Amino acid sequence: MSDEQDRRLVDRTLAGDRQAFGELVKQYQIAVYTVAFNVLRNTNDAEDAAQSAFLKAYEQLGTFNHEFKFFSWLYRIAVNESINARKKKRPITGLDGPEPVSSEKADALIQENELEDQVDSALMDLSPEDRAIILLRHYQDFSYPDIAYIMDTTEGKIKSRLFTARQRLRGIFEKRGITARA
Amino acid sequence: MNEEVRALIEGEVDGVNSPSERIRLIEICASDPAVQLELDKSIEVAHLLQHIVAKEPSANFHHKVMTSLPQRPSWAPRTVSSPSWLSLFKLPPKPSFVLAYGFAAGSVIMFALIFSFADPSYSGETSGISGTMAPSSSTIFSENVVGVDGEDITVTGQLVQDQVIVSISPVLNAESTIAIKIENKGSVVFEKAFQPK
Repeated sequence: MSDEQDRRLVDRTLAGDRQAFGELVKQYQIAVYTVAFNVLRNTNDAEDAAQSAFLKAYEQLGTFNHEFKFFSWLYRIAVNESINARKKKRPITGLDGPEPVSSEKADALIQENELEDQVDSALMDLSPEDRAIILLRHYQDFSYPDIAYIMDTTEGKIKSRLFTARQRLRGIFEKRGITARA
Repeated sequence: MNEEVRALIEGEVDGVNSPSERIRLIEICASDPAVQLELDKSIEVAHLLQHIVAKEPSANFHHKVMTSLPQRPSWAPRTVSSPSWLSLFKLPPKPSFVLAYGFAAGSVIMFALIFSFADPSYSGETSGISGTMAPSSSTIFSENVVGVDGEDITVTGQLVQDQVIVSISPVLNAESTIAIKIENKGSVVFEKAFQPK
């Protein structure tokens, strides 16, 4: 969906057309749920966070600035909701450090050596924030400035975190023998 | 590996390098096999990350979201309830309309306000607002109505020197029109439609 189509749907929603917002939900529910799932790694929590993100977007739509892309704005809310949900769920876990995953858990997630599952499993060794950044760059193909806006930080810090996260992933891939030819 | 090389490799992986940056990276790779190896491994990571798959929420997710939305979000247009003398009308959320019209002091006047808006659901009429013109600056009338959301709507008429100023707060938006009819002793002495600026 183009930015212009999003803008029209936002305007229609603000004029009282709830169905228009329903179209935005339909359009972005998989993307929003995917980012929530990658941060939270739990289907129920991810669905709650994704629902909460759409609800917050609806409630705050009156403040949405058309200078930004609706998609980026929605993503910013979704990432924040997911990370906040993560903080509430695991207040003791260091947020910037890698989340330890047992080899049994990792093994269980690898089904039939499928590459998708292996990549998915490797991502679990990153912090929720780094997973979100990797997802925004490599799954959603957001630009550096867009990711910086979504993560509420600077472009320089995003580049630095991307580098660190990819280096860490590279180490995990190598350790587990995961290669692109698999 | 220095910062420049690292930035060039990252830029190549993300596809944001300029043509001159790409040439520079090719030159560095040609002279330093370690950089070429680093580039290859970084690109392989990016290729692996193409295998991130979308996750789908439950089948009723859309329904759950839509049913959880508030019926009246904070940005929704406001509505006004009807007091005894005021027929139902709705006011959009934005600000104040002021009309100034010259009038003779000492007259007993009746106001009728007719609202119509771009949205046909926002319309209504209020009449029976009355007051006596005083020779000095004073409030001729001030009527408060309570909106559906509990907000206060005020219609005020003031005499300032030789002008009647009718204020409606909160203010009407630019898509609205308002017609004001003023009667004096049963005769219509003023009737005009306005659009707030």
